[in-house]
Amino acid sequence: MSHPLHADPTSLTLQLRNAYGSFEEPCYDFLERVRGQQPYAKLEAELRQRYEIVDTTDFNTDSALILGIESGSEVVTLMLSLAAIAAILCRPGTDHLCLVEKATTATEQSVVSLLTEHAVPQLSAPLLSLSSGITNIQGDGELTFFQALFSDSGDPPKPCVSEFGK
Amino acid sequence: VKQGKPTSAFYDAPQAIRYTTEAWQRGTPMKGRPNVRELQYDVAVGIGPKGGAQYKVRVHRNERNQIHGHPAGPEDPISP
Repeated sequence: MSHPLHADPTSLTLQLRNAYGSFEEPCYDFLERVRGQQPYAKLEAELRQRYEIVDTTDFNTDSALILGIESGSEVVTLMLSLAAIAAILCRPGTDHLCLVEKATTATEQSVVSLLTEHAVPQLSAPLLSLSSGITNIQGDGELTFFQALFSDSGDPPKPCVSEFGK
Repeated sequence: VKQGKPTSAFYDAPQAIRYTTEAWQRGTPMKGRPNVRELQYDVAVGIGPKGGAQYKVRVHRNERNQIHGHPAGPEDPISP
């Protein structure tokens, strides 16, 4: 957990294998241990100084810290992987999350700039949907990078589409 | 025993279906996670990863409208 991800798929798979210790998704003990090491402590502290934070992480499905960040009526969702130093920022829609590829609101811009400041890379939508080479611990298939790094609750988020088309 | 995911389990399959369906219908959406809902119960609904009783049900819905639920929340020690 000491280095940020190098975001090419082969390298990512190897980094995941090194983090997990195998080509299977992480067990509960692994996630608890990494959470205890507080790999994002400084970033989280800065976020909590600026915003109301709701931690909705649940290791039944998540391999990341999943934080709801509230600013007035706006909520964005930040996922901080516990398998590697990597993040995605999402915007909640009516039914699903979409991936923020270009920060538009002040909150999104501020979170993205904090990620940059703390050297936490954001992963792109195409990468999240690729197969990771990591298998599901229950033996029912291979995980996408989104599932291996962040959460196997639902599908990888698709990029947000703004009123201007992107 | 390999402590894999999922880390929480309902007591039996019929309860799993009943709790999951009910929690999706009556549960509260989680802040920042529109496809996830949670419902608190007065009775234990299952066992958590540390072997304690759990009283919440969390349900996830994917883009194919399939729902998946599991016990969630703090664990109460179970007396031997």
